[in-house]
Amino acid sequence: MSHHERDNTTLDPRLIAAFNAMNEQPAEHPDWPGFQQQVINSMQHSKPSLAARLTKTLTNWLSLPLPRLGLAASAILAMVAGLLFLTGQPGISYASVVTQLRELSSMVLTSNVQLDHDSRTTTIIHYQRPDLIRTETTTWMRGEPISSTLVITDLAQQQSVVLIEGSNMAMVIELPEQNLDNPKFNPLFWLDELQQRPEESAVNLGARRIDGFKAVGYQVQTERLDIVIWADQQTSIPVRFEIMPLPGSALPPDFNIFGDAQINVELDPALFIQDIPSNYQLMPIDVSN
Amino acid sequence: MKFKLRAEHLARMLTEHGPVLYQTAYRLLGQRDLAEDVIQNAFIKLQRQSSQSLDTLHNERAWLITVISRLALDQLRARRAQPATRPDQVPLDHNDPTLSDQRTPDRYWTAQHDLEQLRIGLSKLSPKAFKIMILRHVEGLSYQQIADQLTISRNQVGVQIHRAHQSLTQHLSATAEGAFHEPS
Repeated sequence: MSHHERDNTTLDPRLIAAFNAMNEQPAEHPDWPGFQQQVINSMQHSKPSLAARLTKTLTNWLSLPLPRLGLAASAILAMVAGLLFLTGQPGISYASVVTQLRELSSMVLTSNVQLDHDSRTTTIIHYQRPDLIRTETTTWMRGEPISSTLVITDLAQQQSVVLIEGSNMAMVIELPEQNLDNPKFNPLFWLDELQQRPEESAVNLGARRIDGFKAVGYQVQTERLDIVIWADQQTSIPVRFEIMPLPGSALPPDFNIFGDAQINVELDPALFIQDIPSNYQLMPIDVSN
Repeated sequence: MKFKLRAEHLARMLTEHGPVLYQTAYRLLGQRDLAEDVIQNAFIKLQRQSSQSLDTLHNERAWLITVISRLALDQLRARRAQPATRPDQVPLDHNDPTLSDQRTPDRYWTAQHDLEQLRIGLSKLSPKAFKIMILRHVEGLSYQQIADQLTISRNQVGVQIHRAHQSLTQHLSATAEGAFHEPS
């Protein structure tokens, strides 16, 4: 390409070769019409669900003066019943996803966060319903692990044990009632809110491939959070959660993606034992913090 | 009705610009499924945005490239963040004719390694620098065209490109020593 001539005078030959290799890849899609139709279908499914739109319409009608209320409510209820009957779709529904969440006994999730150009953290969460959470966070610098922190929380006992590997420091933290949904100690603080949301409040985001699964997405807003759940299209089992605190929620404004979800797997009880290894030094904690 | 009009507008944009956008995404990511994800997610995001933003677009393709580049950068960063995807573990496409003129196995593997390292290097750039590098090296725009598209000065474009080239060159050099050996 002629526009590269000026760059090439100063560019490293390997960099030029790598860019050339990138641009020489055979990038035509083997089945563009088919893929295009798939994207269009996804867009069509990304609109708010029928139930959610009708709920909004119903809410608007309910704000009208009383004499019109009866007529409006009757008409809309008839419309809801008729349209839901006519548009009933096969496949999973948000209700089936919520059922999976409400009935789950255990869960394993993974989260990756890029801190800056060279460093990132990987967090693996093990959850044993109802009260046990183990969070193992490893910090990586240029591909090498540089530290690892383990937090084992027992919500029933209102206690977290923190083990910092490398420095072999340990902390025991008593959790006040109001801290039980603190993201630091309970990274699954959003799970309760999600389980309690009405099923009709979800917005269908359509299908996408997520972590190797063909998944359907649902967006749900709670008082504090905007949550997107991606669930396996075949089984309704959640495979990814995307958690974004809403402005004004007083939560840290971190966008967290918890992926590679495994639901109802058998977890070794030893994962949640809060013993402090003998070679760890217990650090005093200022309870006022 | 608004929804239908918007869907038709986006479908037209997909027909008109989609194949080229897919090419860009594929070249950046090197995997068909990731490139498809980027295109699909971009259009779903556009579908969910307010209708006004579509009506006031002057340069659809430039705007779409912005969306695609951001999503592709996220994909590259996510891929870099996964411990299992070390450069030497990226699956090779043996039907890929890109590197078929690399006559010896060593040169083939080195070129494959450099291409993957280029992607990792690109993922470390700022979103703005990343987009400029796409416009320059994948879209093939001149400095002035990039400046016009991003409404920044030509000089700023030059500075960004120079710094990005330095960063990428350093990254390639740093990864060359432990580079690549053909698996036995």
